[in-house]
Amino acid sequence: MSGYHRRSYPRPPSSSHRPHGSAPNHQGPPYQEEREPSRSRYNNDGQGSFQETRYSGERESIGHRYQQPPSRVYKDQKHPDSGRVPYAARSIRRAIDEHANTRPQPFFPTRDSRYSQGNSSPTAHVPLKIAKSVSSAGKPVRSLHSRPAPIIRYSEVTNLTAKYHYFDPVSKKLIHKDEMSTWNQKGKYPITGFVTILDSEQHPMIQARNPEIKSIDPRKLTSPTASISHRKLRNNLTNVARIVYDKYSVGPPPPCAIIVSPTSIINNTMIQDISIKNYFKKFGVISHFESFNDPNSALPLHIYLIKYTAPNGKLSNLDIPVKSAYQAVKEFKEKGCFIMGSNFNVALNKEKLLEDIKTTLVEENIKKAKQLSAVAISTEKKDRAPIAKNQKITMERPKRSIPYDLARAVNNKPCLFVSRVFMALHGFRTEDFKYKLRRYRYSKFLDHITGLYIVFGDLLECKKCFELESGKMTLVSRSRRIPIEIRFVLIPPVDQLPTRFGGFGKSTNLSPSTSSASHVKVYKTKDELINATVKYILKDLKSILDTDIRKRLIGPTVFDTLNPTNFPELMSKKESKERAKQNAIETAAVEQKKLRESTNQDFDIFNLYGGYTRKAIKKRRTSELSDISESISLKKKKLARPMAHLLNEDIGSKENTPTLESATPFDEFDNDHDLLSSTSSSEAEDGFIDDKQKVLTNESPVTTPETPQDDSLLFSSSKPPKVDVTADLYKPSATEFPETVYKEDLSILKLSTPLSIVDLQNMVRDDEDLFLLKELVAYKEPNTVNAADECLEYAIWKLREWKKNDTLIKENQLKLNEVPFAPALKIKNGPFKAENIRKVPDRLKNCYLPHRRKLHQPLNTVNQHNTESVDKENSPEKLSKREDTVKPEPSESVVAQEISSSRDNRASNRRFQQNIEAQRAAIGTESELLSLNQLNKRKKPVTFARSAIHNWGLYALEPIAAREMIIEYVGESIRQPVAEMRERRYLKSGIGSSYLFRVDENNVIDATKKGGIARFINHCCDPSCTAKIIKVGGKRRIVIYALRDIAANEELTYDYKFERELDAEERLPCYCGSVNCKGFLN
Amino acid sequence: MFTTLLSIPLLEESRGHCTCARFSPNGRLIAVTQLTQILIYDLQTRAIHSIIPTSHVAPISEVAWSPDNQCLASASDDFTIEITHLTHGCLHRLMGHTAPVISLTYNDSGNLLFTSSMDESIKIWDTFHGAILKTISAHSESVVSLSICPDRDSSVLASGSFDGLIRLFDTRTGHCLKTLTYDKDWKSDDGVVPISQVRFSPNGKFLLVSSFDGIVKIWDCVRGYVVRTFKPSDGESVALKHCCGIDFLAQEGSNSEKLPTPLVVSGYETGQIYCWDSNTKELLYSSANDDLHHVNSPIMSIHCYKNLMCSLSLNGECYVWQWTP
Repeated sequence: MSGYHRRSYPRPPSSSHRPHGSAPNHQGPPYQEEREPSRSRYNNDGQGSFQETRYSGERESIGHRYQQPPSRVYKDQKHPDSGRVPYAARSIRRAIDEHANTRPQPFFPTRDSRYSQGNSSPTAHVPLKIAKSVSSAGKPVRSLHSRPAPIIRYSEVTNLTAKYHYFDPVSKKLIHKDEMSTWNQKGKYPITGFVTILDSEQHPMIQARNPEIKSIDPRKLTSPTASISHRKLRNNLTNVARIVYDKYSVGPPPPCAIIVSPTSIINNTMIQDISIKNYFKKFGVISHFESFNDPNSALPLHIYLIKYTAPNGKLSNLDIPVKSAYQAVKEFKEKGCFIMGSNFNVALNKEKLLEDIKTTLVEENIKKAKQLSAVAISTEKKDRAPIAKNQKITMERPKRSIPYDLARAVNNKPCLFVSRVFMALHGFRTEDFKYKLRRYRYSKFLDHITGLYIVFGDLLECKKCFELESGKMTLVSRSRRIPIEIRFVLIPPVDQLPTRFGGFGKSTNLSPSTSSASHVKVYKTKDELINATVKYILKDLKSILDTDIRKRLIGPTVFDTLNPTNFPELMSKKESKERAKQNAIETAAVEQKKLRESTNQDFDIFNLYGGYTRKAIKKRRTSELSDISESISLKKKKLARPMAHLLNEDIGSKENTPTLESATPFDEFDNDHDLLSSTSSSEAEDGFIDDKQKVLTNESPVTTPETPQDDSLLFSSSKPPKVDVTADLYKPSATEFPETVYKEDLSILKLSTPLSIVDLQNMVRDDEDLFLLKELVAYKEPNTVNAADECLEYAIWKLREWKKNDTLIKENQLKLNEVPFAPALKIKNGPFKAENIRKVPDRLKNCYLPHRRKLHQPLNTVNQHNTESVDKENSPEKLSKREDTVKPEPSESVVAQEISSSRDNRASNRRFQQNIEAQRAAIGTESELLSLNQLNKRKKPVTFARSAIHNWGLYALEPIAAREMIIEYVGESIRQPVAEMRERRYLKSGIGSSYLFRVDENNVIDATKKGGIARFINHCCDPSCTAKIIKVGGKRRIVIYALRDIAANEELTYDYKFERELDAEERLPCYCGSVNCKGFLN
Repeated sequence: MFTTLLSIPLLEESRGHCTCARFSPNGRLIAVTQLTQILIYDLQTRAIHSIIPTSHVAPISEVAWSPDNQCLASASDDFTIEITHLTHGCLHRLMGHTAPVISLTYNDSGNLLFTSSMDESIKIWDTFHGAILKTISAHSESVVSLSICPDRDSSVLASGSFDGLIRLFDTRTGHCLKTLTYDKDWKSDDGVVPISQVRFSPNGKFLLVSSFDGIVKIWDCVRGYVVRTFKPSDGESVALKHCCGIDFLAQEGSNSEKLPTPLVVSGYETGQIYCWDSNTKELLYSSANDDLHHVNSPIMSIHCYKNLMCSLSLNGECYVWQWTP
């Protein structure tokens, strides 16, 4: 009906058909598979020549009408149903019949006869006997009788009544009560009581107790055989339900305190009580928190006792603290507890646990302290033979030297080194180390590209730190979140000079003489010592002389020679260059000035640096009035350079030549001049509005508020709409260039619409503006008050109204549409209807059809708006939301209806189908009425709505899984010649041939005029569905399958697979909007 | 035979922008669009009743009278619709369309307003609250004309669009009841002939449709086929550029026993007005030789009230004619 020209029908001579390649390819195995299981259910060969979805309902109802007759048939006919009764049952039934017949007994036996029968045949196991009699009596007996009389069964089975039978465990059979023999033959009980013994066959039996016979436990007898127990062996205790401790509980209360103790000795001093407390706060309210110190050193032991309590409101509940303590322990039981990089054990405070932990830790500490002192002593000892020791240490680690660029900073002091790679790997920062090592007397941290150098002033301290911390100190890795042991590399000072052993870091290059006192180096002779000393002194003197010469001689000479006065020709050149630059800027500034209508630049105090701009401004001022007429002709001329560029340039020049231009007396004079003139101009500011209005009326007729287009440029550069004119505005600013009092608002320029009265009124901000405006329009004070002036207020009000409406409507249009209306579509003058008809290209439609811009947001054909929430602002979001709220209704109902679908539905449908088939066979006609469209049953709930791709599209109402069937492409099934004829006709009438779908060489499905909604599926270069041709009941059908998982409300698309069209005009553009869109359908 | 009764003087500046002239339901007033203003002409005093200023910022395409003669709804190019009361001024500004509003019509009781727009949708508004009730997006081109069925509680709305479809909607549910298309001579080089105007017959059973090939047809809306076709001349159909006006003129019966058949009045691109008998297809009147009225300007609007017919051409000529059989 719509969407003409969507798909071009493949040319008849072409060998490829619509779903390209799919037909030949999928004839084979894939469809075999599809057909195989369906053979039983799809065996209605008389499918209608064309299936149409809208007929399907009709057919189903027909089907239901025919569902009734079969049941009637079952009743009337002698149905072969009897064949289904199990054979055994039948034989028994027959046997009973015959048994009844063979016996010359009344059919309704009396009670007596029943008993007598029971007595006469004491061994009567009735069913067994009957079975035997059947086999003996045989069939001939029955054949004598024409038909057995009806039987009442209970008369036969009375003997089976169970209460007279007991199971004899010895003979292992049922015995009648009368037959049973009692074990107590004599009928009297033994005096000694009974005892269980084993008889000859190892059966337990009861006997009178005899002192000789020992009683045995019959249970034990069976034990060797019956030892197989099905019970599982328990290897741990079963959980006993926890008994909640409350006020009625007896006994000591369960522990509600936990002990947090370190797993190993912690050197981390940054662990603070509060952090521990915070850590355990999450389990409950802490009533008591205690940390313990080493009694010997008063250092924290990092043992914490945390007692929980119930929260305020539930103090009576004694169980809460217990629970929280238990939970805290449980949480850390397995994985342990890491707090600030240290490992802690968490345990319930039971009995003496706290004391135990404390004592062990204190002992350990004492031990460690001893070790430490030993180490200290040993290191001190080692210091005596430093060189050897140092070498030893450095041998242990890969040799590392201080990089050259750090050498000075390190100043040949001992340092520890951590590699940068290691730090980066774990995300350590210098601060971490600083914090960790703050107890040590390091002198500085040097962050270098190779790593972190911790410089110590003292080798002893350095070594102590190294030995205590390297490999023991842990930091929590930021990348792996586990504590990492830090290994330092000790870089001892290198002995360049024998005298340079780093005692206490006092030895520096500059003061060798002072530090010589502490030198350990011993000189052999006095001469040697003197020589060495002289060497040092000479070196020092030399360096001092060097700097002196540099400072006092070379420096001044160089500066003197560089004095600009020495190079007059160069300076003149430079000046001329400078002047040229000035001129350029001047002209630029003049032009700029012409574009401006500022009054109050005068107030700007120009700072000292940009002196050369003074002239430009001065010129501006002097030529202000005379330039105006000129400016009109010049106004369209653009600035030589944009303002920003000018400013940049100036900043640059200021940096380069800061001194040359600064503070000349001329500048100051100019500033004064500016100040004076500006005050005079600002005085005349009062009442400018009145004047302006008059100006406006004369300048532009009321009916045409727009000033001539030419003028707009001039005005546009004037001040923006900022109403509150405060004195602040006129304050001078300390910028290099004069600034306009009001910010320049060039946005007006960009408006395509002519200037409105509001714009104009906003533009003219003060006296100077008005003055310029008057000049511009050559305004003359009217001698007499015009009659038209009386309407002036109204006219201006009207113009303002119009402007207000205009902006309001424009805002609203944007809000509704999000995208401005394409200027190409704007109607030039007059209303839409007055314009000539024109075809809107699909591309431009996006600018006024919001739904076209939103893929997978179907626009319902009829969109019910929610009346409550509808108010003036119908934003598109709201609209779309409303659509959403409206949408689910149909889909839900469909879903509910379809929920039972899929397998069950299809199974029941198959059964129904079979019934119909049987019915058809019975009727013996090839009536179309009974042919079912079983594809319909597998259909997914889909709907059509306005699409972003093309007019209409098909949308999934609920999510569809990949490879599921979605819908059949239904239409009239026509032969090839008919299709050709129709195609021609459709093309002629302008419908296009978009809905013709070729099935095979001879058949085409035409959904143009009669067809299902599958024809609404749009083309997409990245399709979500595919069309397959499958054989159903001997007919080829087109079925749309999902290619991938499809979300609800997503548009269904498939690749039309049109042949490539060579003629550019014939090509159909594609608007599918997918990432890899080819741009054309064909 | 049409005779000119009077000529309505229109505003100078509106020349070339006049698109719609409508009789009020009681036939006393005529509303003519004048850019963003609406001129009301009083037929009884034969003078301009008033000029209503609206808050539109773009010209008005069409106006519609409310059934109580009190309100005017105006469809403007600024995407809004304004409902103006003749004495109390603006009542509502309806915003919701995303493109120029082209056509609009009230229902019989005046509580609903149907508007159609270039954005291919038809919106149904509650005129009391000024709230939008439904949006029908059933066309794929600008919807240029709406007509409400004068019979049967105005439960059927007809729309004509540039996509060449005439659709009939149930005004309650908004669902499309029928699509009138695929007529036997419905063909052109471009495929579709855009519809320019639709108008229900007074009895609500037929639909007068003019399309851009200049052919006027009467459709039987129930059966869905064309019952009459009118062409201005025997020659080939001409491609029009404007939505020229058409209307039924229901003659007042001179003799009471048999109502005369309604006439079809149609305006054309070059300013001619033709009048046919809707039953016999006989051309009763043609202004082809008339050099006084609407010379070479497309007739934008034709509206009839009883024996009166108001014609408006784009260049701002507006005449009221009287039909005398």
